[in-house]
Amino acid sequence: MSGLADNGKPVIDWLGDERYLSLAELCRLTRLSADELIEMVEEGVLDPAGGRPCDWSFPAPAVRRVQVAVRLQRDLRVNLAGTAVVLELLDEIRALRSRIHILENSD
Amino acid sequence: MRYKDYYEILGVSRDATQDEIKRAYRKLARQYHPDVSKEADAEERFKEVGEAYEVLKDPEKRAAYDQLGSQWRAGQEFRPPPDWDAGFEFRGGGFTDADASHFSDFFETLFGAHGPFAHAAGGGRRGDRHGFQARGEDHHAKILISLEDSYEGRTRSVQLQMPELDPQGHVVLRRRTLNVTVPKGIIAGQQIRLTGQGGPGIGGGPAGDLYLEVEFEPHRLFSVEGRDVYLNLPVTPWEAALGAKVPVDTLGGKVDLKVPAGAQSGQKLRLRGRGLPGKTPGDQYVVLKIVTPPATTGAAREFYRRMQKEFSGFDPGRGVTGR
Repeated sequence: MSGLADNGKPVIDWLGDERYLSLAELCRLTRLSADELIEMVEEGVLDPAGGRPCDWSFPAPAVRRVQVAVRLQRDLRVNLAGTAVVLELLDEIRALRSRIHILENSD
Repeated sequence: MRYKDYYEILGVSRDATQDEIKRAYRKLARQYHPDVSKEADAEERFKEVGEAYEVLKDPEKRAAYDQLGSQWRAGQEFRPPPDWDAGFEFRGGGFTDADASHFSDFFETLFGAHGPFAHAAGGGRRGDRHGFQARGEDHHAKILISLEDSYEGRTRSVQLQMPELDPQGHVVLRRRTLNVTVPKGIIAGQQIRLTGQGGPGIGGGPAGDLYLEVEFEPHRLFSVEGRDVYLNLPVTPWEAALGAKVPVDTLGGKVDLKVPAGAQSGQKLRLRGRGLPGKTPGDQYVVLKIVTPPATTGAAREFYRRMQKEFSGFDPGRGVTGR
């Protein structure tokens, strides 16, 4: 499988916020089991729409969120609850950095 | 090949205890973790710290490394002396679950698949399993794109370097160039997945995917927050006071902006839907900055004095300055 389209360019899958994934799709992309992802939902790392796991719908940026969560657990030995806190703080830092950049540019 | 001073990298002395080494590693790993750190060289530093810890946490590898002597300096040209590892016994399999292909030539020579401790090293494991099939590893990289790339959905040429193990188990850097069409409206922090462009599969298994995480290059004019774009617009006092139509840059080209009469410095004017595209497109905010003309001539100074008289009751600093 080359992953190249007929025009020789790689096949691109945009994991943007207008695309949604089922639990099974998220399992396939992140290579985690449904149980592991359900645990992440229970700890607040992920916040899907929908009631039962079979109805869950995740915005596609959840893939990156899971990947970062796995790296934080593996590299820094952060537990799942701590991972949820770190991810929220990282989101907040990103938003604050954008804001600072806008304010600094207006000086 | 350059000598690597693993003690210097972890910031510990050569006689540090294993506990001190562990503490130093954990602190630096948190500091340079690429998902947490904003430092430009975070990824490099994180790998370097991981490599240093991989050696120093293991008393056997540490002893072998120490035996090279302390006369070496970081960055010095290095060739391992013959029989440098003589007399050390290594426990097979007790090595690492870290991916040694990300480590340096220096590490590779001493501890890699063809180094003296090949039996204990992580490298070279892949081809050893008969009849085993698995999907290749997913790879990750960050790419810098311009706001215009996202706005227009341009095709960008992306240069990537990937450490790989050759058939002999040596680490080689494979360079490749991919032409990637940036999805229209992608924003910082989002990923694109290139199917089958990650690590090769094992035993005929499919290749992994390549995930590219997008960040924006700093722009000459615009700042960005989500899909909204910000532009600072210097205006004259009379444009602000009397109102004006001013041409401003947007990602889609110049548009006329109506500055309302009585506008103030710092006021935000919205150009609806002129931000990054999407199902709900972002807006462009134009932030006004009133710039006063310099009072460098007698006539100009006289003009400002007349304004002072004309607006004698005007005191925007009242209640703040103690006047």
